[in-house]
Amino acid sequence: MSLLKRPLDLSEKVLGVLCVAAFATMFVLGIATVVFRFLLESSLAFPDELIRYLFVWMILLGSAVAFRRNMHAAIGMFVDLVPRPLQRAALLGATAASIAFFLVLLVYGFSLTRVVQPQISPALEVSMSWVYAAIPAGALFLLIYALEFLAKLLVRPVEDVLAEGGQG
Amino acid sequence: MIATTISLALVGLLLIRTPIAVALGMASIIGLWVSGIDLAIAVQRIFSTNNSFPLLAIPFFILAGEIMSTGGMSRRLVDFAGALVGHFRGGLGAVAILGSGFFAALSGSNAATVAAIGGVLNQPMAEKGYRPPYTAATIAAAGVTGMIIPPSILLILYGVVTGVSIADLFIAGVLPGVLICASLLLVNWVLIRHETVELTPFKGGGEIWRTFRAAFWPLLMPVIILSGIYGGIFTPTEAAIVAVLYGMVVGWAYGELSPGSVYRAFFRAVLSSAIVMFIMNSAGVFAWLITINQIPQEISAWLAATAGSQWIYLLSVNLFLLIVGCMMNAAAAIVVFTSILYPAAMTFGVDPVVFGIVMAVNLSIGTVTPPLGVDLFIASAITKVSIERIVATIWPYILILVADLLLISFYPPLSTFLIGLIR
Repeated sequence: MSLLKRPLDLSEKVLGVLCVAAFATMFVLGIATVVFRFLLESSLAFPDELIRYLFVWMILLGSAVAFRRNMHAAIGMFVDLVPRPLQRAALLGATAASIAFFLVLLVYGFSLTRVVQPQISPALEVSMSWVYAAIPAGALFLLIYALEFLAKLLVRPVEDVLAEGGQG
Repeated sequence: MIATTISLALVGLLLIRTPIAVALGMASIIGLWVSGIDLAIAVQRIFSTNNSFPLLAIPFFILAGEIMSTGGMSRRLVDFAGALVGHFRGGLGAVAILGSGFFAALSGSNAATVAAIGGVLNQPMAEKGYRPPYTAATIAAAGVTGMIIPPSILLILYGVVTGVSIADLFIAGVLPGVLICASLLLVNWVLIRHETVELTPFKGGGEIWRTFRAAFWPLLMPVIILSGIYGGIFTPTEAAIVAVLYGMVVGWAYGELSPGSVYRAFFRAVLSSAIVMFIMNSAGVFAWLITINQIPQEISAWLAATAGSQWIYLLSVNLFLLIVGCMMNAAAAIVVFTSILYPAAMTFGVDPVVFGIVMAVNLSIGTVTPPLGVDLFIASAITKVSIERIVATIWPYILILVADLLLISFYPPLSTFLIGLIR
C-alpha cells in the first residue's frame, strides 16, 4: 500500500498540472477567438475546435483527480443510517460498480479510439484518435484510483477512508 | 422491462453511495447490455456530450468566480453593501445578503458565493455580537442567489439539455434573484429582533460614494456580461472567457493576484468543472438510452393524464424536486430530471424559460436544506457551527424561499417581464 502511495500521489499531481495547462491554453485560445472576431471580423475555426478537444481531455483527467480526492457527488444519507458492517458492504458495492464502469469505458474507449483513427478533424486536420484517447486515458486513471480506494476499504476502518479527501 | 431494469439499477446504486456519475453510467451500461446495444455507444455519447462549446461556459464561469474571490473583489462588494445597508437593524445580516446578491452576479454557483461572502463577513459579524449559528444560517441562505442571479451553472445546464436560449434564461433570472434577496432581507429584519447585536452608525453619503468607487469594476462586470450576451456580442461561453480576463485584469490592478493564487484558482475550477461534467457526461448516455426507449414520452403522457392541469403539474413538480433537492446535488438533479419533466411541462403550456427558472430556484433551495445542502456544509466549515445548529436557525429563511418559489412558479411575468422589455 504505502509503497504504491508515492507513485499514485505523483500521478495525481501530474494529472493536475496537465489539466491546469489545458485549461490555461483553452483560456488563451478563447481570448484569441474573441479578439479575432472583433478586430478582424473573421472567425478562426481551429481555436474553437482545439478548445473543445482540450476540454474533453481536461474533464476526463480532472474527473480522475476528483475521484482520488473523493470529491464526486454521491448520496450518503442512506448509508449513514445503517450499522458499520453494512456501511462497509455498501461502499464495497459502490466501489465495485465504479470499477466496472471505468473498465467498460477503458476497454470500449480504447477500441473506439482505434476505430476513429482514419477520421480527420475538420479544422485541425488531425486524427480523431487524439481526441477520443482522452476517454480511455481518463478511464485508466479512474480505474487505478478506484482500485486504490478498494484496497483502502479492505484494510482500514470505513470512517477513516471516508474522512480523508474532500467532502466525503 | 428496460425501464424497470434501468431504474432499479440506478436507485440501487444511488442508495449504496455510488458516485452519481457512476450510478447513471453503470445503470445505462446495464440497460444497453440488456437491450443488446454495442457498449461503444456509451463512449460515443460521452464524447459528444463533452465536445460542446455551450457547456464550456461552465468551467469559465466557475474560474471567473474563483478569480474574483481571490482577487479581492468580494471584500470590496461587501464594503459597498455595508455602506448602503450596514446601519439598519440587523445591518451585517443585510450586508451578507446584499453582498451575496452582488457576488452572485459575478459567479455561477452557490458554493462559491457562500465561501466568498462568508469568508469576508464571519469575523466582523462575530465581533458585532451575531451568534455564530445566526451568521452561518444567513450566509448559507444568501448563497441561494448564486445560481439564480445570472450567470448560473444550473441555467446553462438546463439550456443545453432543452435547447432554450441561455441568454433568455439569464435575463429571466434577474427579477427572481432580486425577489429572493428582498425576501431574505425581510426575514433577517424580523429575526434580528430576537438577537442582541451592536449597531453600526451610518457613515454618510461620502462613504457610499467611496465604497462604490472601490467596488466599481466588480459591479460593472455583470453589466458587461449580460449586455454582451443579450446584445448578441458574445455567446455565453465567450462572455465567460471575457469575465475571466476581466477578473484577472482587475485583480492584478488591485495588486491581489499572484501567479500562485491564479494557479490554485485554475486548479479548483478544474476540479469543480470535472465534478459537474462527469455527471453531465454519464447523464448524456442515460438520456440517450431512455429516449430511444421512449421513456420520457411515456412518463410525460402519464403525467399529462394524471396531473390534469398546469397548476397541479407545477405544484407536483415543485414538491417532487424539493424532496429530490434534499438528497441530490443540484447540478446532477437538473441534468437528470429536465429531460423527464420538460416534455410534460410543454404539454401543459408552461413557458420553457419560466420552467427553467422554477427548476433552478427549487433545486437551489436544496443547497440549504439538510441533510445534503452544500451551502450548509460550507457555512459550517467557515463558522465552525454544527449543521444541526445551523438548521435550527435557518428554517425561517427556508420557508420564505419556498414562498418565493411558489410566487415564481405561478406568476410567470416575474421571469418573462424583462425579456419582453428588452425585445
